[in-house]
Amino acid sequence: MIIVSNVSKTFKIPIAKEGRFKGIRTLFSREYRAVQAVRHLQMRIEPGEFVGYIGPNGAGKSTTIKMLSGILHPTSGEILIGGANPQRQREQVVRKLGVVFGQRTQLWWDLPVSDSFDILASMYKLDARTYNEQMRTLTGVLGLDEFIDTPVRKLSLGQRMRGDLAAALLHNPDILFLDEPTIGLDVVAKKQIRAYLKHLNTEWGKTILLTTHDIDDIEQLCSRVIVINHGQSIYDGSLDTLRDRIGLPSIMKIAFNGIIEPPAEEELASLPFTITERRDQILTITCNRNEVTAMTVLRHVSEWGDVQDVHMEEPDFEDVIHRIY
Amino acid sequence: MNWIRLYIRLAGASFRAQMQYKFNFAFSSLMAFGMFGIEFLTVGTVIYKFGGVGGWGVYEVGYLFALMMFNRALYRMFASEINGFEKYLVEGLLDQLLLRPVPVLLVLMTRQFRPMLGELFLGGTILTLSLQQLDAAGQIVWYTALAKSFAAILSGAIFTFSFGVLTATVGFWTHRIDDLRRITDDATTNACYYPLTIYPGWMRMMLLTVLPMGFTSYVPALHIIRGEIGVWVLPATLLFALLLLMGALRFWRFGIAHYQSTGT
Repeated sequence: MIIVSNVSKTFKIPIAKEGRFKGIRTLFSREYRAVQAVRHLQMRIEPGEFVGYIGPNGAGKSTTIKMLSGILHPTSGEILIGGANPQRQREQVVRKLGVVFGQRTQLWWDLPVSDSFDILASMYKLDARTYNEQMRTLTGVLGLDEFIDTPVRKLSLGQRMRGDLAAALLHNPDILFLDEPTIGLDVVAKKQIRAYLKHLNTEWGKTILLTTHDIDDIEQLCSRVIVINHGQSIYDGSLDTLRDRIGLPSIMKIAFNGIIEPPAEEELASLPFTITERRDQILTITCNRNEVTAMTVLRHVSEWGDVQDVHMEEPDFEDVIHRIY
Repeated sequence: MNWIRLYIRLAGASFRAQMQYKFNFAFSSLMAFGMFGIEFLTVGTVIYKFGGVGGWGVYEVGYLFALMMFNRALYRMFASEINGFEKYLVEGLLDQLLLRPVPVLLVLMTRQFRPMLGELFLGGTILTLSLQQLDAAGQIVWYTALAKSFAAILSGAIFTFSFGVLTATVGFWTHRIDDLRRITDDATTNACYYPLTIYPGWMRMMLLTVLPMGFTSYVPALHIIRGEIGVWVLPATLLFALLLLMGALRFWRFGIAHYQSTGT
């Protein structure tokens, strides 16, 4: 079980000096810029949950994961993982954790993949039998055979991610923190990684906290979503409830032939959609498709002139979250 | 015991990784030998022409140089990444070390393990030559001096390492340490290639108190080759080195809580 109580993290960033001896002058300078990355975060994750942790860039996702895994120390508040504090009892807590940072491999860059596993096994003091069994299972599930003897620097991104996942799972941790594990992968590799993650959660009962910018990851994997923005948790619940809250915001761009004759202001205000832009022969309309169908919008609009073309856009999910909160 | 096994394992992996680039490895060993060799030859020639410096003969200065060469080799061999710690702070590379159930410093010490062959070979050559000449001059008995030199090198390496750790730890607050390191490591090391008697009083004081790198070569040499102080200075130096090491490790543990990592 993961308990996060009232955790805040403020970074003190020294203001760098310019010019000669800038290093030394920065060193003795007392000027700091305080950046509050996480504020009063509360969270409780039960064993076996698959939680999606989302929010725009710079919202505090990675900072949270780094605090949970003992890399960063919170400025205030406390974290407990299985009853232990990841800062004070770091070496004890990290044994129970598997962590993957999608942006950076934890494998030994110049060595064959299998060497990394050997090294990790000795770091986690796995005995030979446990290690071999675990390797067999992971090879089966993640298909490591095809690249186990290749140096890490020669792997494709998809292979590297599988290698990283295996490395995080080698010591059989109960909890996985995955920071953007699908970043940069092509559609096929993404699908593959998702299938593995699903397997880890449903078959092996791993507790997983996943950050991602890909809403499909969340949709297909997570039973619960936590949304963070400006360092604060702003939503915690199911994806469906979040969807209901946000609705289905859409943008319609409608091009006309000839003149457009929209009705008077009062009548416009009573319509279930709004005109956000009018440029030449093109109207931009925003509507929420939970409240009004695209066809209804078109029926209204076609009375104002000769509609030539219609283009619909669904804004990026994260974008919407950013705007709504 | 487990830690030593783990160290050998990790350092071995790091060495194998470097062996992927064999030419680079051979080249940098050769370059180190050439670079410090030329430096010693230049300095040696000048000192030889003037018949000594600060009251020390050329082989006595050679002895100091050899001690410093071994210090440097041992420090860089076991802790080259402590010397290059800035990149761990600036690039957030410390993250992955913190994720392992092993002391961070231990893993850090295994990274970029290099056998420092160039420095060791040069240091060995100069040490042999100096001890031989000083023995011939009747100033020392070479085998006792050699045994004492090992003690001096051990405490010297501990000094240098502790300084490295102290400097690196400051980086948890400042993020940049390369400029500071140039003072605590490079400048003091260069200064200690020569007998401290050539420096003005304040500087000699500094190298024996605030930045006590003088204890890595000059102070033990006073006993080992000059006989100016008693043998007690060797255990005293070692004790001082160990105290400094304990202080440095404490400071490190305190500092690591202030690690800030980097954004993605």
